[in-house]
Amino acid sequence: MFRAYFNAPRRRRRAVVLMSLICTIVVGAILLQPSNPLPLESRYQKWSLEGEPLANWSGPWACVEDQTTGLLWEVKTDAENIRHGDWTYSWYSNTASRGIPNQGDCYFERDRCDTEDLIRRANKERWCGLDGWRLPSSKELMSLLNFSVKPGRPKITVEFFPHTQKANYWTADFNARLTGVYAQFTVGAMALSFGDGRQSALPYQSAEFVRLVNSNQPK
Amino acid sequence: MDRVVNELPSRVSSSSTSSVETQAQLEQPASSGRAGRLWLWPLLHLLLMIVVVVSGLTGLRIAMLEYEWLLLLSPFLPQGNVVVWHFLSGGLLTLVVSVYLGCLCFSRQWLKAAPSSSPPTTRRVIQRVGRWCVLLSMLSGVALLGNASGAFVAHWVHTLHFIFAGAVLFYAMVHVSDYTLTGGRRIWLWTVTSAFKRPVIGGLVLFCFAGVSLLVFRGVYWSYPELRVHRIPLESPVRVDGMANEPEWAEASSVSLITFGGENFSWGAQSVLANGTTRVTTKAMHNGEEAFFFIQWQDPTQSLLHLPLLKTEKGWEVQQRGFHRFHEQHYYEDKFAVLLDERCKLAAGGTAHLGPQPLKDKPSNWHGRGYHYVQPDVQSGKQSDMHLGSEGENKGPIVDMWHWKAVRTNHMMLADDNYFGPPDQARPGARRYTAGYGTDGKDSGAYVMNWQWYRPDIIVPKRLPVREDALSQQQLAEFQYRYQQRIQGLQPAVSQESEPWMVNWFSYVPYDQDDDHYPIGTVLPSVLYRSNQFEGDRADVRAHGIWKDGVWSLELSRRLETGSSTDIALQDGVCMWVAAFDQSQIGHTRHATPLRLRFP
Ligand code: HEM
Ligand code: HEM
Repeated sequence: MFRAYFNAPRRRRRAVVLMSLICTIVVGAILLQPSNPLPLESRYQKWSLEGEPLANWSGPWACVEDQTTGLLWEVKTDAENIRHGDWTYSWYSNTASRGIPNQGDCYFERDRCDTEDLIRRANKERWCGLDGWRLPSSKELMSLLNFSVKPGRPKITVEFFPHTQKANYWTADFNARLTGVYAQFTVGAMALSFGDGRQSALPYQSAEFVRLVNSNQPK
Repeated sequence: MDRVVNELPSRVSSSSTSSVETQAQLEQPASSGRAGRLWLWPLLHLLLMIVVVVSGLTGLRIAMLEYEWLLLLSPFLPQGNVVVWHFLSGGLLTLVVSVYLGCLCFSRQWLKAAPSSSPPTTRRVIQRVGRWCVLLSMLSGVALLGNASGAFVAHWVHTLHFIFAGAVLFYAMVHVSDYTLTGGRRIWLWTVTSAFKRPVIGGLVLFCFAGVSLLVFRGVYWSYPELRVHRIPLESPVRVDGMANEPEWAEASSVSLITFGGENFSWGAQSVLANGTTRVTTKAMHNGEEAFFFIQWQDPTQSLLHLPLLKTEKGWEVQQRGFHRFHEQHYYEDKFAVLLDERCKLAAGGTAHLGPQPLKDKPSNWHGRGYHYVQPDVQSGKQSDMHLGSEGENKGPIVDMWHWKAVRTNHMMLADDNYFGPPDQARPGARRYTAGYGTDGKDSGAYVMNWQWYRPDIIVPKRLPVREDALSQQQLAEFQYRYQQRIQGLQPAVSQESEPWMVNWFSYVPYDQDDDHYPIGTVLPSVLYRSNQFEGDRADVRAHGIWKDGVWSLELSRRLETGSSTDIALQDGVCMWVAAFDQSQIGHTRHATPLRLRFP
C-alpha cells in the first residue's frame, strides 16, 4: 500500500494528503463535540422529604445537609403547606417555658403560630425521615450566610434554599437584652436577617421567619 | 487578476514539472524585466487570505446562532467576542477590495506582472466566480453593518451575506486545493515570501492597511443612527398602553431598522430569504422626568402559549421542545428586549460572547450559542472580583436591559428590569449558568411557573384550578379551546385582554394528588401571577404591548434616572439596542450597530 502511494504521481500523492486532512478534520469535529455541562461540587446535599438523597440538579427537596457543619436544614416551599416560606412565628419554647405563643401567621394551626408549633409538627411528620428538629443557635444559622449573591437576593445560597426572605429568622438564643425601641420588653430572642446578614435581639412576640435545623443525618 | 494568479504556478513550478499544466506553463518564459512590479498583488493576496480565514471562522460562529447544523464545526471555531473580530476583519477586507478595485481602475500595472500562459478554463471560471463572491459578501456585509435605516437594507440581505460568504469559503477551499495539488508546498511559501520581496514597502503598506482599517472601524462608531427623544411638557399625560394615541407621538420622529437572525419570524414561501428578520420602528419622548418609547415590529404570529402543562397517563407534562436546554422555540411567548449602553460598544454593548464556553473558567451552556456578559475591565482593577456584589457594593460596568414578555409581564403592565453585568461566579445548585444576565432586585418575581420542580418527563404542578369556582373552570375551558386552536396553527384575529394565557395564583389551590381528577388530555397554563407587580427595582419599567394584524405595538416608560446600580440613566448619547423574540426563549433578532439617543 505504501509503495503504491510513493509510486503514484506527485499530484495524486498530494490529493491523498489533502483528503486525509479533510477526513481528520471531520472526525476531529465529531469527536470534539462539546458535552453538556456537569454539576459542580457543592458543600450542600439535597434530601427529599422521605429522606432520599438527591443530586444537585434534582428536586423537589425538603432538606439540605451542609457537609461543612454536618447540620441538616429545613427547606421552605411556596405550597401553602407547613414548610411554606411566608409563614411567621413568635418565639416560644415549652421546655424553657419562655417566650410568647401564637403571635405569628400561618395557615396550618387553628390558632396563630409560634416556633414550638413548627417544631412539634416537624418532629411528628418526621421531615426527611427524622425527628430532633429544633431552632438553630445563632452560630449555626450564621453558617448559612452567603454574601457573594447576586444583587438584591437574600444572603443565602438560594439555589439550595429557595423562598428565603430578606428578613429576620429566629435562633434558639433567648434571654437577650432588648435595646432601643424594644427596651420596654426587657428581654427577647436573637434573630438573624438574611436581608443584610445582621443579628438583632427581638421581643418574643414579634412575628419572624424560622428555618429549623437537625443535628442528625438521614440514613 | 486571473492572469497574475495563473502566472504563479509557472514561477514556482520550475521544480514541480510533473504536472501537465505546469509543464505547459513552463514553456512560457516569465519576463523578468517586469517582475519588479509584482509587489502589490502578493500583498493584497496575503491579506485577503488572512482576512478570509478570520472572517470565515468568526462568521461561521455567528451563523451557528441560526444554522444549528453548523454546531458540528464548533470545536474549530473561535469563541467569545467574535462579532467584533468579524467586523474588524470585514473592515480590512473592504479596504483590500477597495485598493484592488482602485488599481483596476487607475493602474493595472500595479497588479499585473508578465503576461503568462492563458489558464485552463475551469480555473478561470472558478477564479472569476470567487472574486464576485468576495465582492458580494463584502457589499452585503457593509450593508448589514450600516443598517442605518430600514430603507437601506432589505430584509433578505442577511441571508444573502450568509450565502455569499458560504460561496467564498467554498471557493477558498477549491482554490487552495487546486493550487496545492499543482504547486505543493512551494506555492504556500511563495504566497508569503513574494509579499515581502520588498520588506520595507510591504511592511509600510501593511501598517497603512491596519491603520486605515482601524479608522474605518472607528468610523462605524460615529455612524450610529440617531433616535431623537422628543421633548414634551411635564403635564402631558402619556398612558403606557401600547396604543400611542396621544397627539405628542405624532410629533416624535421615528427610526426603523431591520433586525435579523431570530428564530421563527417565518414569512412563508414567497420570502424565505427574509425568514428570521423583522423591521423594528422606534419613537421616543421624554418630559424631563420620564422617558417613553413606542416600538413596533412585524410578527406574523401572536404567540402566547407558554410552556403549557398537559395531563398524560403518567401525570402532568410540560409541553416543550427545547426548554430543557434553555432554547425553547415552540411553546413560548413572544418577547422584546431593549438594551441601553453608555459606552456604545459594538456587539450588544460588548456583551455578546459566542460559543459553548467563551469563559474557560466558567460553566459551558446547554445550547452552544453563547452568553451575554460585560467583559470585566481588568485594567481599572475595580473588577478583579468578577461578580456584582450586593446592592450598592459594586458598580462595575453594566448594560441595562428591559425584557418585556407577552404573557409573563404584559398583564402586569411591566417589563422585567434586567441587566447584563460581569460574568457571575459559577453556582453549583443552578443548572443554567447565566453569565452576566441578571434581574434587578427581588428574586422571586411576581410570576411563578406552575411546577414544583422542572423535569422533562413528568412534573407536579404547584396549583390546580378550584373545582367549584365557576370562573376558573370557565377560564380553563377557554384555555383548552385556545390551545387546540393554537396547535392547529390558527391565529386569533385580535389580541384579547381576557385571554386565559396566565392565571391568578389565588384562583388556583395548592396541588393535592387526591383532588387531581382532571382527564387525560387536559391542558393548564403554566404562568401564575402571584401579584400584579414586581417589587422594588425590578418594577422600574412600565410596559404594555398589543398585537394586531401582524404587528406588535409596545409602549415602554421609565424614569430618566432611577438611582439603582443595575440601571443606566437615560441621557444624551446613550446607545440603544433592540431584540425581538418570536415564540422563542433566547433566539432573538439582532442588528449590527445601535441607535444613539439624542436628547435635544
Ligand atoms: C469573506 C468574507 C466574509 C465572510 C466569509 C463572512 C461570513 C459571515 C457569516 C457566515 C455570517 C453569519 C451569517 C448568518 O448568521 O446568517 C456573517 C455575518 C455578518 N457579517 Fe460577514 N463575512 C464576510 C465579510 C464581511 C464583511 C466585509 C463585512 C462588513 C464589513 C461583514 C459583516 C457582517 C455582519 C454585519 C454580519 C452580521 C452579524 C450578526 O449576525 O450579528 N462580513 N458573516
Ligand atoms: C450581536 C448581537 C447579539 C448576539 C450575538 C446575541 C446572542 C445571544 C445569545 C447567544 C443568547 C443566549 C444566551 C443565554 O442563553 O444565556 C442570547 C440571549 C439573549 N439576548 Fe442576545 N445577542 C445579541 C444582542 C442582543 C441584544 C441587542 C439584546 C437586547 C436588546 C439581547 C437580549 C438577549 C436576551 C434578553 C436574551 C435571553 C435571556 C433569557 O431570557 O434567557 N441580545 N443572545
